[in-house]
Amino acid sequence: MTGYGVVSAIGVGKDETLGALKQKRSGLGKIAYLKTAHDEFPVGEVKLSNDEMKAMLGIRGDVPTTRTSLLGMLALREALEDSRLVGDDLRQVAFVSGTTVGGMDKSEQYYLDFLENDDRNAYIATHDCGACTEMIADHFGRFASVTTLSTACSSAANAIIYGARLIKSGEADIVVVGGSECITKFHLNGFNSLMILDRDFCRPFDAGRAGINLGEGAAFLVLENADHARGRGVKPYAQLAGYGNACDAYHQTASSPDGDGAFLAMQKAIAMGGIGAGQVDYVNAHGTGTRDNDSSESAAMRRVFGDAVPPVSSTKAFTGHTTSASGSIECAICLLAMQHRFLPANLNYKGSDGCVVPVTETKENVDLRYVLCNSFGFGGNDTSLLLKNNDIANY
Amino acid sequence: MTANRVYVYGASQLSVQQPLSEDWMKEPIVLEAGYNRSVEPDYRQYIQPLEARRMGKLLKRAVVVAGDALTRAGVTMPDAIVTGTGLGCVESTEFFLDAMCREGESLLKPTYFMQSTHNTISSSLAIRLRCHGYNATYAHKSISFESALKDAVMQVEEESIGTAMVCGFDEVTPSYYGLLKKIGFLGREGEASGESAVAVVIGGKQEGEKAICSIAGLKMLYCPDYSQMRSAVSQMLESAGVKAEEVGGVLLGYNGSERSRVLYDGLRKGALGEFEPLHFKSIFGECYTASALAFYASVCCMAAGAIPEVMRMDVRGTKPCKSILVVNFDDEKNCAITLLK
Repeated sequence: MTGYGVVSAIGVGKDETLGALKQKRSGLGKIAYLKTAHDEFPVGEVKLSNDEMKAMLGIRGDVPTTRTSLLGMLALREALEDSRLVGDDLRQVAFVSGTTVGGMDKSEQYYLDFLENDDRNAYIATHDCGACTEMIADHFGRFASVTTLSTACSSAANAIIYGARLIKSGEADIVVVGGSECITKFHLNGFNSLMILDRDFCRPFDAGRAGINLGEGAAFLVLENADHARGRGVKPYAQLAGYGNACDAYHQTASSPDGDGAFLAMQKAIAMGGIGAGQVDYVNAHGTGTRDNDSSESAAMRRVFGDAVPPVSSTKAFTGHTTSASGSIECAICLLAMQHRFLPANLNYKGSDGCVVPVTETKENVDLRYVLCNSFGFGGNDTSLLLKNNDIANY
Repeated sequence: MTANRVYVYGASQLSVQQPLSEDWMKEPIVLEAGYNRSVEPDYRQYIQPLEARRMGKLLKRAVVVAGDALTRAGVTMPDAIVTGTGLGCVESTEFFLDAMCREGESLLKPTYFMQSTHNTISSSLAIRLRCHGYNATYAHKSISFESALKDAVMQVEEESIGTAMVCGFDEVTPSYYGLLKKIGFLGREGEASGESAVAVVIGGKQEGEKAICSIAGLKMLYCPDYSQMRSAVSQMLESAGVKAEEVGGVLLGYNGSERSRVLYDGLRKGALGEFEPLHFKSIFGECYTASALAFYASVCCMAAGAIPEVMRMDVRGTKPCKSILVVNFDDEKNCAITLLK
């Protein structure tokens, strides 16, 4: 992993993100940008309007775009700069992004126009997931190949795996992978209809947890094989040492009580890394704050780690649940934690009802050699990524 | 390092043609230009009526076609399920969206939301099979299916899995057809729309198993020019040990519209001159995962050892088929090249 960029409710870019994490500054708050009747739910919005993002990116105001794309472009810009990739370089780079809502922010705004007149036809073409990915990619040049994962809340994590596999198989030497997703009325209402949104700030793993706060954002990571990185003279932040994807195969929206899918995903990732579970120094949990997820994920972690569960935190009380983008945003958080030697806190935690007990304060001066990052999606699309710190491992 | 070879063991379809059947090779249902829907099988044979009532159309098709493909392949439990869909479960998405836009943000029911995400189908198939293996869904326009296939092929090659079920699904509802017509994706003059539900079972070869063909090449390009496409095809043939004259033909996305004629005529002239053009959209219609039907049709040709007359553009009679290409350049940006041997 030789570069990354991240945008979420706690900041645009790595520096702002790092500051917020270390100082326990949550990005959750009252809905300000999304137009919805449901202002009772706190959310983690990126504190920028679409017009402000367009101005930052040099995109004309009248160009049809979606919020998912704009968030993605901001994150991708940082990732490319960080990894010193420009213009023509992209011709050799595969781009893989994850999203589920895609351009739904505009579709829900103009749906009746789509049906009844021709005023907003341009946004019919920006609706689908692939269109959003291409808008993000095309802003910077021509990538060698482009595709989109859509596995709900594990989309970005699965995009990372697919990209890694492109490298492993020799299809590509370098890939840019991650995901992007904005908050929409569509999924805010969807999650509300499932009664899994919390009216207070979310409290992952806490006994009183009552659901999710939605968030939004994007993160992209540059992965390349070691020779390619050496050839370009770029130093890796970390290595993707393992990954696991498994299906809970239990229910469309609920997790199995024993966390079968989560267990298998973590187990595969650790096995692929060639380490024992005891060598994992930190788990960035999926930890959405729903009753179901957190108990299921806790059960899965106990199956993997036994009595010695490593320090765990969910950073969703910082960013909100950034759904399809959460896999890459949280991967970026793990990279920051490794690089700056701290454990991010699990905010709003008061007490256990039997779930794992998370880290509640930022813990500084911690060497993190192996970090596990979990992302679980509807339908039991469970994915776990194992990151290895190269500075400690003497790359 | 030579990668493990990847074989096709079975494939099945639900589309505008006879369900779960290869009747289309001899006597296809004649497709009219304009809007077309899939021919539905008798679901009572496959799904309990009570259960079927809770499922969207696309999900029902998926369950049936996946079951048929697994049966044909003689596989009970695939190691992975990977799906491609351009637009996902459009019907459920529209129900939820329509209710929200017309009636406001109260009283919305969770069922349509739950069934609206793109990964609903792939994960529902896993739930039904209790398949805990790798599961993923790709949603990238016209190369959604090939992206899913690439993922599965790489995993078989590296031997992290033995078998995979790879699917392509898209439904076109009447209202969404109207929207896609407005942006010129569907409904051009002369063009017939269709729907796709395709399941393919692939795997590495093991003793005693009878594969239909191998997937000898699969490559995706973004915004390529003709020379890049030409060299991608020749590299693919070379590494597969296939001579150009051994290729029975190339499936191209001619869909009856003037736009597709200009696009694919240009492509033939610029990059694929030596191969006999074959068509499949005149049989199956146009949709985002039409290429899944192209893949299925190619597998049928390989199984039969011959390309049927209905797929041939200029020449009468069948043609022997030892190898076949599919070149998908439908949206003029994303290009996918597939070679079966």
